[in-house]
Amino acid sequence: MFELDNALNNWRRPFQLGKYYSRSAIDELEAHLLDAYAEEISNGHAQLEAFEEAVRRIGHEADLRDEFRREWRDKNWLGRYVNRFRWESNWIQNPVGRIGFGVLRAFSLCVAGLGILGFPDLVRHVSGDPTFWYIMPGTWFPFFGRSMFTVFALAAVFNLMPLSPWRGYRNELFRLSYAQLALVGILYNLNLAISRGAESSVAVGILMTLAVASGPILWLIQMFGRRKSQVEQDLSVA
Amino acid sequence: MLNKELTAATVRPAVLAILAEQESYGYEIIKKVQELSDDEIQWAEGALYPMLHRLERQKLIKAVWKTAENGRKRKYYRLNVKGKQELDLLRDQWNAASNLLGKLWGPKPCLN
Repeated sequence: MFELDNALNNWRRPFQLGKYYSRSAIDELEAHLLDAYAEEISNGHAQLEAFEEAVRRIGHEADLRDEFRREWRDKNWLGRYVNRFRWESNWIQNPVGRIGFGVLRAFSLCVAGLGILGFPDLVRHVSGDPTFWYIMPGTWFPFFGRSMFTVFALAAVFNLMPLSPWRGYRNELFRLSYAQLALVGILYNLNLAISRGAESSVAVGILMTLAVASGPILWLIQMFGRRKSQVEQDLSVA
Repeated sequence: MLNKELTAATVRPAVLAILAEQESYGYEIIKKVQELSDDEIQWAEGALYPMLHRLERQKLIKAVWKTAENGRKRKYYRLNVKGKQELDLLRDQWNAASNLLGKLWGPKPCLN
């Protein structure tokens, strides 16, 4: 028994998982598909046959990907950024979950922004230690051995990875660097919190860990969620 | 039937010309092209939309979502002032190309 809503959902899914389609673009393609479907029905086709013919006319996601990718690449950095931000959560079916993910992502970017603009003051306030940022065990953290501000500034820059001007493997390298930095940051903060022992240091450690880790945590959620979503899609098609 | 390159080249001027007449949406634009060309020009239907989005981004056309009579939402496009200027430019270029080919392929003057 053919059900139009199910068929539409199955057709939409690869577009939702794809990187280059805004919600509005998918809605527009769906409106076209429905017009084509209505035309095929009026030509005397059965529902399933009409839907298949309409899909053949408009194309599957794989057929349209190159054209949409070309259009996406022509966008300026802000357009790509907004597009990327939307894409990150559009694999989540539940609207509440999508909003939740968006809030977390916004938090991660806000923390990144704070890292550049005002986070040192915030942490200094939380820790009550005016020299906090200038004390670093140099041998433990050789690459960024001056102040944690450097780490935060770098974390902030890496947190803005959707702004990466690169594509393909260079973008992946960018993400990998971020993950490495995050790991080092987490280990350092744990070490710092343990060695200082004070409650304020624990709070600062948690704050910094959150700041550095929020990006990759969301990235991992997204990566595994998207993969799970793709598997469900494959199963439903099968 | 037009080849792929020529079909691609006609998309931009044809879309602008159709929208110069009245606002329209993707499906209607495709139908109009098929009708006017007697099915000689066949666009890949879904591939029209990236082109429309590009024209919109270049501020040649403006888009707005509207609810059609059957209750379904559709994205309508209409031409901007900049789009009209672009259409004039394209029309001049295509006319120049058409004139050249018309002279090359048209009836030759015969002295006999």
